[in-house]
Amino acid sequence: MAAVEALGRDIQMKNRLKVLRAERDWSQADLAERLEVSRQSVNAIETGKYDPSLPLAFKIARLFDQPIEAIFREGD
Amino acid sequence: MFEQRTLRVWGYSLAGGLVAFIVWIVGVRLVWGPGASVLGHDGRIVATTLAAAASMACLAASARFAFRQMDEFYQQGSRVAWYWGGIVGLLVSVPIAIFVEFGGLTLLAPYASAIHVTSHLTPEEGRARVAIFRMGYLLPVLAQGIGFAIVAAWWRLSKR
Repeated sequence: MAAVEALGRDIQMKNRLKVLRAERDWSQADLAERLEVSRQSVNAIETGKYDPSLPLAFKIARLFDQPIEAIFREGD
Repeated sequence: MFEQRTLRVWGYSLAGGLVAFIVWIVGVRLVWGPGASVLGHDGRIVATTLAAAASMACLAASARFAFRQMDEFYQQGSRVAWYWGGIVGLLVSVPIAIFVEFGGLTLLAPYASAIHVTSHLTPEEGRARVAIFRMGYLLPVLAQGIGFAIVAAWWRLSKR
């Protein structure tokens, strides 16, 4: 029952993109260039205002050499 | 200052607009020029319509190229903007259209000369003008609604 209720709620995603980027000393523009997206997209993802598509999420995971769930997780 | 991607989007949009404008101008000049009298009045109407369609096809092509240049964040933003912006625009336009149709403009500008002239219209002329206004209002509303329905149907069918 709780699982069904959880499905009905909007899932808020959180991510570690900013931390991972900072660890590599990349700017948002650097990351955007590597992902072939705009800097605004990176900023929107980092601040949780936009959830990337699955293909982009996989691309991010590949770039940081981590599984998707290590970067993106369901928020509280 | 601007990213390459943004410049490409603007480039495609501007180029599309320019080409569409040229196609329209050339089309009109060809159709309504002295050499095209063989078309006749009806032929000219059809040819002008075709020129407008060709011009809009150029805009459609540039819109497609521009959209494909956007990254998914901006594509999503564009979808949201067109969906909600379109719906809100349509909903807001209804009371405005009703206000105008029932003569509300006279409340805003009771001494405007254009409105003063309409006060001398016969009831039939007044009704004809209201009908013309209604058709003018409904054309873009219906076109947008039909366009939305077609794309929505195509999207659902293509995802089956």
